[in-house]
Amino acid sequence: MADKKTKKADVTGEETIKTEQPAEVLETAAAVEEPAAEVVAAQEETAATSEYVSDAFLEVRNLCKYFVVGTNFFGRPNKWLKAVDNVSFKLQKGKTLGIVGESGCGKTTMGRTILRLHDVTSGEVWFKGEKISDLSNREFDKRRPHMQMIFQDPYASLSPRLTVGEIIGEAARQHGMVDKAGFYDYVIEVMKMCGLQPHYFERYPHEFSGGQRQRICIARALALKPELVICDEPVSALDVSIQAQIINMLIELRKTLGLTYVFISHDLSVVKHISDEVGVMYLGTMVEYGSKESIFENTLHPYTKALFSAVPVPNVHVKMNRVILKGDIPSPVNPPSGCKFHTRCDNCMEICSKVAPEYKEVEQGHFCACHLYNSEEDTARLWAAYEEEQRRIAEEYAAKHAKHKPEKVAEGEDDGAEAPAEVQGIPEGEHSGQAASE
Amino acid sequence: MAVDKQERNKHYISRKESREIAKNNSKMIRNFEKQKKRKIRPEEYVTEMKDPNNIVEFDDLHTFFFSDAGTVKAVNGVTFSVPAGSTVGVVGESGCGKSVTSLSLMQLVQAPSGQIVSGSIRFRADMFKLDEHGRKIPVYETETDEDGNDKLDENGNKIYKLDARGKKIIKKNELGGNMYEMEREVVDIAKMPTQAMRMIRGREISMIFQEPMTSLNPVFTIGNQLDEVGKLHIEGISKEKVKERSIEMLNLVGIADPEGVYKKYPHELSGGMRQRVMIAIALLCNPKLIIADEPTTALDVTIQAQILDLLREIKGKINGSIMLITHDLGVVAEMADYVVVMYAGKVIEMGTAEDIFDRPLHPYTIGLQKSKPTVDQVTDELYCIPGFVPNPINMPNYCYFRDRCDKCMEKCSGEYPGYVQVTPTHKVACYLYKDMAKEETNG
Repeated sequence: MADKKTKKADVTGEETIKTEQPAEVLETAAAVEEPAAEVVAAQEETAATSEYVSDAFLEVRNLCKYFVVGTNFFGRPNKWLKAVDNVSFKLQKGKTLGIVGESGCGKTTMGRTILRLHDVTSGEVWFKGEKISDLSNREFDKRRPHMQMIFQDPYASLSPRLTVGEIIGEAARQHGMVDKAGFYDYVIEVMKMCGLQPHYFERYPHEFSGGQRQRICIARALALKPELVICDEPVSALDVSIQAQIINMLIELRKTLGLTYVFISHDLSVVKHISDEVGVMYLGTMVEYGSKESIFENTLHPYTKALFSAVPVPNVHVKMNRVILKGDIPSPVNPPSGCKFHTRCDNCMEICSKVAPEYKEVEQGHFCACHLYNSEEDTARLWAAYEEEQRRIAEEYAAKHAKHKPEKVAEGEDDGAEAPAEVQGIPEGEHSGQAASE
Repeated sequence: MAVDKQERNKHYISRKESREIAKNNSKMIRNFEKQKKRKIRPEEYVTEMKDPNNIVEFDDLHTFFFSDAGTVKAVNGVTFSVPAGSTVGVVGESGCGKSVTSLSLMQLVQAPSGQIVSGSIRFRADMFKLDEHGRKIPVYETETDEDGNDKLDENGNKIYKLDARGKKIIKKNELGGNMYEMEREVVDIAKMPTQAMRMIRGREISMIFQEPMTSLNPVFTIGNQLDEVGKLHIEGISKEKVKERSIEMLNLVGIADPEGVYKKYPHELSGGMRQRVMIAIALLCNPKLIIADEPTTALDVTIQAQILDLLREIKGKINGSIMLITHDLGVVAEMADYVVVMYAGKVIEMGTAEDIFDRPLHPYTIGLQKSKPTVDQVTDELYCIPGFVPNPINMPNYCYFRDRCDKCMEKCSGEYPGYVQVTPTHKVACYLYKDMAKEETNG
């Protein structure tokens, strides 16, 4: 085992990628045109920064998770659902990161991808200075006890055929953390910590209410003495009074055990209560990230503003100045071009529908991906890059067209009419250059 | 250890007990079903309102479920009323009976195990006037002069318009259906026969259900499901008129492409759109009362904001009342004029929204408000109500909240506290305020 590890360390940049990336992705990269190019680009980016060593407790760099939703005639994927697209953040030990967003924005997928319950498409996950996204499954299994997850629905995530004691202690026994003789005492200790009575040990999950089941789920996660716990909507299925009990318990456990949480929830008030840092996700991308104070007091992104104003406040005298978003969240299979939020945004500008905004640090420790906070140079640079890209596409298109139908090249105007729609969308000034290049 | 064992065996039912329960249940259910099946004359269920401004009055309603584990008193003496043109929010945790209260109002409690045992639900309905044969009396088109007054013949009778075959033409109402003579009656829904209830359900009271994902039929198009309501409840309406009305409703609830959605199946729509369709179905017959049973629980906050905005807007348009059932205090604060707080099948506090949110009195209401983290306030530790909701079978005869209450007194072990009228609009069921009310009356 040790040899294997050293070998892995020796291998340099690009080779690492080749050996470690799922075979499926590599194949597609060779075969299919557009999205595959992005996958390759993402890989190259990873390769370029492979010398990097993380100093944070948990760091996620350019994490992507694409699901294949369509294949061509030969079974090769040609359509992707970008559930998580280029997400990066750093988290220090003992802090809590709250992830908020609408349903379908990729919060849960991100949590699961960090724990490698899904394969990583590209990007890196660093845990305690170690790149866990590249480890083999067998190697990674050794680190699993350090990172645990509390799943979403306490009604669905407990096996109905196992007793509570077995559910909680199963993983600890599997990882050899406890022997047969000490099993009962070990489990009882964990149960007490989570507010479960000892005589629940031999009961079955169906005998419990939602709040109690959630406690069992938490006990199951904590039985392995983890350092990082990913809580995936731990309180959304519970009543208000039970919710408060569970939240208080999670905070208490964080203090006593020194846990680090990634707290995924759609409930902003809960996230505000429990988190130190907050990340807002929309359609697979992180649109805003920062400390709790900076996010809630100095909200930057229009989506975050709309999200915050939509939360009903239990006070009759507060008159809401609602920013009501129009329409629904677009389909992640076919996301809007440019900024993904531009279809619902009140402050939409011309650039928004064409160029994707950069995710950059607007204030100290406060990241945001929005064109509103671009400087003039930034805007100019993005426009230039966009034009360059469009020109390249147009050229490629023309070249391809020339190859297939050589007789049509002479009729330049026809060609122009058939060029991709995006080319025509370029503002006035660029058209002359475009025509010349064609 | 003995206590431990007792705790363990709390839910255990011996064979003998179980047999007794089954015997008792079947006897009770048979009685209730018999009551329902016999012919009920209108005189039995037509009553009077206590306050003519109300549209619905629940009066000491008891709805029980006769389950194998014992009788579940889901609604155990609920009394409140919905004033016309207002929004009443019913709040409580899951299992407190708020949904069953609304289902009782629609006569949709799952029979035979679920039965309205006693009490009454008075509803002010526009009922059809019936002739001596029990048929509806149509209104015919008449000849009118320029001023819109009916022309009379020499005997002082109205002159009716006749169609090609010499038959009188029935007048059309604003929805495009036949017009019948109506009368305003107050009916007791708890005693009403199912046949008569069908005249009210959907037409006078309609319901927006909790889960838009499961309450639309996946094998019919949206248009089909909308039209069904129209065809059923608007008598004599033509097919074209129904479709027109359906599309008009889809437009009203803010669907951008109503003609397109009309032809789609539910799975092609997102959660928010489905909820809009549900609202469109509920509004189709211009109901006077809309019951919204957790209309936004399954939706995201941004979509929730849209739907709440829509509900508020529509309430103004149709000039109806809304009974909003939810567990989210924020939603209630925003929408409701009056708030009813329920706990374990009983109303523990009710009043205007200002009463409940500014001056909550019952320890449970206070606890509920403190235990919800809010965006605009920072607290170190959330208040949490200790313990759990008591088992709905074998409820104690003292205050149901006693074991979780931090202001528990000696008196609380006595019988269940009655209501204390603190202000003219604010009522609470707690011993803490018994003396206060007395002082007020003395002073």
